[in-house]
Amino acid sequence: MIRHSHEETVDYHENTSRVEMGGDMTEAEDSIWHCLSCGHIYDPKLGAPEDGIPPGTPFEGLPGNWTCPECGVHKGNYARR
Amino acid sequence: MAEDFDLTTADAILDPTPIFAAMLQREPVHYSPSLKSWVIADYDNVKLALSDPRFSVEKMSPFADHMAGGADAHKIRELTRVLGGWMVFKDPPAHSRLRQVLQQPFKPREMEKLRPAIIDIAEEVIAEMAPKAGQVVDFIAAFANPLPARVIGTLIGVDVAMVPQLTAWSLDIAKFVFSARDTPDKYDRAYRAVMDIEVFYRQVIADHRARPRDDMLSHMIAYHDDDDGGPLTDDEIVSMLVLFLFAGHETTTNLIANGLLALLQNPRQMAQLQSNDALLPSAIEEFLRFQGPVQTVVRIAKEDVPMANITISAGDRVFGLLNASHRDPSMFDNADAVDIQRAQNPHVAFGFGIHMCIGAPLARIEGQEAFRALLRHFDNFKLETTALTWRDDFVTRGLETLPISFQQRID
Ligand code: HEM
Ligand SMILES: [Zn+2]
Repeated sequence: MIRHSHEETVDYHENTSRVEMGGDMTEAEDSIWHCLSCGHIYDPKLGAPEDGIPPGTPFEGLPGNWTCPECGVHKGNYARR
Repeated sequence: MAEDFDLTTADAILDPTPIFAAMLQREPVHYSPSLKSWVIADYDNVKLALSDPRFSVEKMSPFADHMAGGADAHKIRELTRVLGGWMVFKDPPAHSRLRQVLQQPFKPREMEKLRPAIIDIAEEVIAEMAPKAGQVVDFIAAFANPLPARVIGTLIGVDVAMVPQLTAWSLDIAKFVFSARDTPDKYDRAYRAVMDIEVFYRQVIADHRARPRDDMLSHMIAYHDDDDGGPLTDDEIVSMLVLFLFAGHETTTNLIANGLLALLQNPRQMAQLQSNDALLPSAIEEFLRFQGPVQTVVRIAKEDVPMANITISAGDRVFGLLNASHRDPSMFDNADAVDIQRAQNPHVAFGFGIHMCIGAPLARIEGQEAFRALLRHFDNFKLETTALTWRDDFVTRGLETLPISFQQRID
């Protein structure tokens, strides 16, 4: 039994996710994501101003090489809350 | 009923994974009479022990254990003065103050500024190793050890030429802090190492006070927070510098060496990484999961904690087996296989919660640049032994030596 479904997986190499390909876009874009390594929260309403990411940027819209601002892990290691 | 899963036999040191599997299957939280401690193997409970405030790191410091006195009492007091300030052995609020000082300068964004210097160091170590192409070399001595040593020297702001001496001292201290076994002159050696290291660092601190520069040490000296008890004392700074070397050198050496071994033993993974360096970040995470440099963390329960079908009583000691939790099938698909493309990889190789490794962003960059440089310059890596020698300590997971051969890339 694997608790993190692959629906939640973002392929950070290509900066695309299954969420973008189907499902409810609006709901996806509002989603809050958390870092599985350290617990950092990415809230699209706030963006990541220190990294030059403006408020309103959905998680899926972050650059492919974006990393967790707390622990430095790659973007693929986030999951939707 | 309770089984004593023995992780100290020669077989278990060679490969602890069958024992991890047995624990996970039969008794993920069990009491070990030989360790006089609870041993936790499953992912959820390891994470709980790491992050739940009902568990303390304070009483497990080696200093507390040995405070009883005896012939070595004076030496132990001095060791405690210099090493007792380690945040890794402090609960809040003492922990919060020490961690606060370093929080900002260790953030990934700050560490990224070191990446160019780390690339230079990797290239330098590669250049020193290159003439040995075609011969059998110990990868640890030739690459995995010197790279992080030089990075830490650069980070702290000490002459890189001093780093081997600092490393030798820190190994003597390590024996005192980590070794379960009593080597006869363990206190003497640790004491002498700490005294020497202190003399050295006090000079470096004085020099940085006189001429501040843009490095970690100057930052620590300048730090001042009225709410949090003022600036760091020199004792506290020396203590932190020793901790950096200690926590950040051998661990990173083992990340690099355990990672190369995983690739040598899984040629298809090696080929994937050789052909696509965009896989470096997820490959490093997989190395950390598959054979994490820190095998176990230790905590003391501050109150009774129900866990699985038992209760851990106040005062009991628990070992959280990080590398066992990385094989928990409820968390990791195909947990015993190396897969450098694992996208989600919530391993706890850096711990979790308030003590989570502050050096993780740096270690990640070091790992990435180490393998980028290795694979760019060399190929045809071969494992040149059939008998790997793992260090037989319980706390870390690392090889004594890793004999390999390699060729220079010609393309
Ligand atoms: C691959 C390399 C590394 C690994 C696997 C690693 C692992 C860990 C782990 C598991 C902990 C938590 C211990 C606990 O909860 O009891 C920790 C804490 C710590 N690490 Fe690392 N570490 C690495 C590299 C580094 C580096 C490069 C530095 C610094 C230069 C560093 C500095 C620290 C410090 C200061 C702490 C204590 C943090 C606290 O108590 O708040 N580590 N590390
Ligand atoms: Zn994180």
